[in-house]
Amino acid sequence: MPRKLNHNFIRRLWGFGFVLPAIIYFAWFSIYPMLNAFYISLTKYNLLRPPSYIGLDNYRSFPHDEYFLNAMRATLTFVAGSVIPLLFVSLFCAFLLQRWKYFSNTISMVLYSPMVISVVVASIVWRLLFHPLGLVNTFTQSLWGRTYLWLSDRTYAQLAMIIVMIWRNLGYYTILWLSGLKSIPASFYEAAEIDGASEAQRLRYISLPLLKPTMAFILAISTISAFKSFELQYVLTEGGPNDATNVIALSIYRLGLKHLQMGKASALSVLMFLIIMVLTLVQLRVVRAEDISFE
Amino acid sequence: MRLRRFKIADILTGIFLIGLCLLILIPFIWMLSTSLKESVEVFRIPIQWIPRSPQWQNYPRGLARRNFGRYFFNSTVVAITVTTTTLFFASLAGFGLAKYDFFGRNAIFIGILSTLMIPFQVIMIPVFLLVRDLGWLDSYAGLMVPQALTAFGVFLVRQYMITLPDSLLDAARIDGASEPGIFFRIALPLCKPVLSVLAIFTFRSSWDSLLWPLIVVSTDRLRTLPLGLSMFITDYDIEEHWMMAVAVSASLPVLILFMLAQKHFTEGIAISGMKG
Repeated sequence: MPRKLNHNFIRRLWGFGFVLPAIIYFAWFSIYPMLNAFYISLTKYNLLRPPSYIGLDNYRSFPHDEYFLNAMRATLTFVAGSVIPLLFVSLFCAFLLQRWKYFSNTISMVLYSPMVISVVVASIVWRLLFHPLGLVNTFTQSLWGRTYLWLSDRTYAQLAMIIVMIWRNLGYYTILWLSGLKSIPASFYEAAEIDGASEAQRLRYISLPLLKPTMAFILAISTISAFKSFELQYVLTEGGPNDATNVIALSIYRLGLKHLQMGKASALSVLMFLIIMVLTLVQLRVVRAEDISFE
Repeated sequence: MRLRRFKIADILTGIFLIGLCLLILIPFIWMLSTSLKESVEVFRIPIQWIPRSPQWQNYPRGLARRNFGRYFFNSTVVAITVTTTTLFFASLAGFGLAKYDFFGRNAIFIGILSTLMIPFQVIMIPVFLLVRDLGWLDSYAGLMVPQALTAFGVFLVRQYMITLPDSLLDAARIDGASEPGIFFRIALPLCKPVLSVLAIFTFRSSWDSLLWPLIVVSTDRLRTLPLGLSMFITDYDIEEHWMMAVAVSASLPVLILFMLAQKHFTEGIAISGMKG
């Protein structure tokens, strides 16, 4: 009996040993930096002198801080402007793709293809397309006789970001909607058809209500990814013109690592963390970890 | 009458989908076509979709504008190393969490999962300070270690390992296999499907990442491809056709990966949402 116990103990020790490198790694490179971000956010720190504790002053300055208010405005514009159209356009595409029988796999792969290249490459290509003499302006000129300063006008620069975001993510969300649609049993539709429901009625009373979990999931992940956006703004406009596209992640980078205002940048990080945490908790509630299955 | 209406709807659907596909593909077509143009053709009106005589030398010339050979090498080394460490440590931890019942296991699993809520954008400053204190600024170690393992990877492998039957492991134990032996000879080979999905994900996210290299690297010799590409935008002597040639070259490895392993890409779609 003691021998058996001993045996079990050693086996458990092995199990713990297998997980130990991961524990050390996450403690060192995720949790410690996160705690440190909280601490630095309570200090004034410019790398040259040791951090000096100033309490909540960094947070208190936010409501009157132009830079901060602008970052919030830029982020919320980008998030709302990309998430809402993406949600509806991808749903529309999924409905069409579901009733369209020809080459539907090829079409969804084409829609997904912008996701394959990196954000950096995509942004470099769109910089060329949005050039004052570029392809987009050539189109608008021939369609309705106007050209735009896509990347150097405050309003159009924000619109340009949203266009690239939609272009890149449309196929991904379409595929997510499609898999949601496919999970609805065909017998539901057959039953409705027997009862004489029209296609529009089947859409309204079967598909849409059963797609609610998919919608919550897409809303959560698209909002999180829009909140985290950095590369797009960095490469396309470097946050300009006049900080119009200086979204929160880019603001943290510029404030902390270019202007060396570590304390204030960390306070902004903590705020971003709280936003993302709330969104992630929503996402985890919607998709239970156990639901993920492999073929 | 009813039948005819459906046909019209079908035709409209088809036109819309084909139009949408073309619209989505235009940036790719434009990137490729510009990369083969002469300088004077880039902004020429009317639009020139196909260059008159393809300028293949744009590729070597564009890549020679900066140290792109070196950037390619750096990106490859970093992506392969990071993928290897992630696969190894994620499967080790995933195995431990799925198949051993030690004290505090669930708390540890939840702890690791909760780091998924910390995006890198939030901890870039403290990680920068940490790597600086370790003396790793401007080094391969500094470039790789902060992306050497992801909670997403641990989670993914753990979810898969939990489906392996315990009887298989017990049978090996009766045959006298050691615990590491069971991991390497039984659990790991059975995890190939999930490991290939994780490998593709990790390789891509490392190959594409800009933010961390931007923070940690300051000398040219350590720059990765995305960093080299993003430097282009501040170079006023770089012409567009060269830039597109470099952009196409930088995307080739992932495009090839996509064609070879399309199945894994689409399989990954359903689960990638967890990565946020």
